[in-house]
Amino acid sequence: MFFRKKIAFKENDIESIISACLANNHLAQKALIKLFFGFAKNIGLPYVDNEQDVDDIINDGFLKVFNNLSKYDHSKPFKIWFKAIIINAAIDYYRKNKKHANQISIDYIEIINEGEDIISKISAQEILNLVQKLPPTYRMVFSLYVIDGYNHREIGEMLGIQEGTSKSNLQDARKKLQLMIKKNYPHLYLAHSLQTNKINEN
Amino acid sequence: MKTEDSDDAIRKKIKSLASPYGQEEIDAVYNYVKQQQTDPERKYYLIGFISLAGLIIFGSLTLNIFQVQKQTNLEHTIDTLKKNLAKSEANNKLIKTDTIYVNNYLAEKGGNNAVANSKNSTQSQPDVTFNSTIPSKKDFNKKSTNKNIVSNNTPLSSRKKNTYLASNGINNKSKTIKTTGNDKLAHYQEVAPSLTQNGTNNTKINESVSKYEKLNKTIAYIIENDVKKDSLTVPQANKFNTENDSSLSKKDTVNSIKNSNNIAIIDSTTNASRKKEFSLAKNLEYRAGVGFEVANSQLGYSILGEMVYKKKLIISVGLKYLSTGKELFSDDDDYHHHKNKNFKNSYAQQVKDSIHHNIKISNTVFQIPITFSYSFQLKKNFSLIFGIGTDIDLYAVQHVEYRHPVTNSDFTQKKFDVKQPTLYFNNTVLSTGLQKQFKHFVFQLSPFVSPQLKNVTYKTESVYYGLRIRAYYCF
Repeated sequence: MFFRKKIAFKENDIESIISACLANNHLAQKALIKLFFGFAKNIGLPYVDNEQDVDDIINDGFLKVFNNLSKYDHSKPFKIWFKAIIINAAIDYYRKNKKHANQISIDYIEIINEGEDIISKISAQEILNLVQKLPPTYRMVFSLYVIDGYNHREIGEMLGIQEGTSKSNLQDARKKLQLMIKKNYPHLYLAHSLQTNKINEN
Repeated sequence: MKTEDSDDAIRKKIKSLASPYGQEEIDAVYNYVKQQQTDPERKYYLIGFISLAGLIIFGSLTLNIFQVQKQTNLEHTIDTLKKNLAKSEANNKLIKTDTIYVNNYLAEKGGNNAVANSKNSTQSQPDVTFNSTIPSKKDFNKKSTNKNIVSNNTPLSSRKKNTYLASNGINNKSKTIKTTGNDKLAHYQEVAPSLTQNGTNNTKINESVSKYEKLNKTIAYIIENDVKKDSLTVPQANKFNTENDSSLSKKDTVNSIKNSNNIAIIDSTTNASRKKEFSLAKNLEYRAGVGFEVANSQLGYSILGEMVYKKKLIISVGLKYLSTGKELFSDDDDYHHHKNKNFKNSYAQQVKDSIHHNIKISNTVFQIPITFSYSFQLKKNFSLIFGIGTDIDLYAVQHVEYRHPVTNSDFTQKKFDVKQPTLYFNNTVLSTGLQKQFKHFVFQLSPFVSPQLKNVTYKTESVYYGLRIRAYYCF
């Protein structure tokens, strides 16, 4: 307890880093942060509306990782466990800031299936920016369902909402996203509608 | 189907995104984690300290309960013994024999012999005065002589010998005096008319009676005072009574007794007021000594003074020299890593060069340690002490050392001191420990915990754990 031997680790070997972290080796903790910072940031970004807020999710996420590292099951990939923790941190962040979330009624939006064509013509960063502009509730459901692949039952449990609410939120998120694409990239929609008309004429 | 396609497209796009990040972001996360994460070692120390403190408190309380129980038992035993003693004393009454000699004349009705006797007696003892004494042992032989004289002059029947029982205590003795006196007075009153009838030495006898009445009043006065006044006055009065009554005249005796009684009362009241005046000073004890403490790689040496009230409440004040252990950093990066600050920027006035190795930082602090303690007495001059206090920081200076590379192989060693801003009140010290007294010397050994209430540059830890040893000389 008082004279603990420091465990050595290799910077690219995740197992040795985890072992050293469990032995409270601060340098190993730093190495783990360095190794997974980008990954954590990528996971967290779709859940917030700006890059500054993602820092809170990352900080909280890493703290949870180190505090619960002893519970990690070594038989499963660390990346999946880590991703789940970061998503939980994002959900916690959402819950903390829920009172500030504004619900927007988007009943007036007509559903247009823009398809893969339009999305492929927009850059990844632009898509991320659009997702980040979604209202928080829609953004959470959209990110969990579309980006991270959870189903509505899981989303309902995670966010404490009904499965049906999750479905309707996702639908609304899609509508809102389409509206934003239409607003921000009208030329893409124009080209897409012309192409669609040509196909119909033929 | 199209919705699923667009979802896949969005997922792929976002997953392919690699957000840029810098070292600062990693450091920020690391510092946050380090700050928030509970150090397991600290947790163990804290648990250990709390357990120890709890054990000491529980032990002392248990000991206290046992001691109270023991004391109650002892008091009960003492009461029983006292009662038994009183009973045995009551059963075995001490019989003290004392003799009172009464020189007087007995008049026999209508008898010339009596008058003649009376005359003879008067002639042989021209000054007929009542001579009543409670002889002391010293006077016993003298009284025996008197007895012989009296027996020659008076008939055997006229002598009245009183034997009385005296129990312990002055009051009983006084009662005896009173009883004896009353008997004598009654006897005189009986005798007086017959003497008056005889018409011989009437004046002298009347004088004797009046003198005796006065003496009787005096005795009554003494008895009253004996009962009412402080017991301190009684021995003096009695002493006077027994020693002087044979040598002084009755009037002088009365005045002397009164005066002595008053003096005794004045003396006793003066003593009481003096006692009150000096009771606070009596309960205070002063100590001076030295102390040594070690905590989280810091050492402290102190000169101390203690004021102890009723051996329970202790106020300790002194002057402490505190030296913190050296913080070592291999280079600027290491310094930045630990302190989250740039070394050169931290000491901009003193550090002009850019590369620094083997950075060593230590601090010297002068403090006034103040502790308020409660001492719980145990057996064999041991006592438990529980204290709370603080260290008032007066002056702090930081000593910085580092090596600056001149060439690839040569280094120059540089040193400088920086005065640090101090906060008078920035911590609290909680201690519990053991105290042992050897005659005039007192030794204290107490572990302590000192949480920092406010951050200062010369104290790096948020909580200090340590051990304190102090030695005092009692004045």
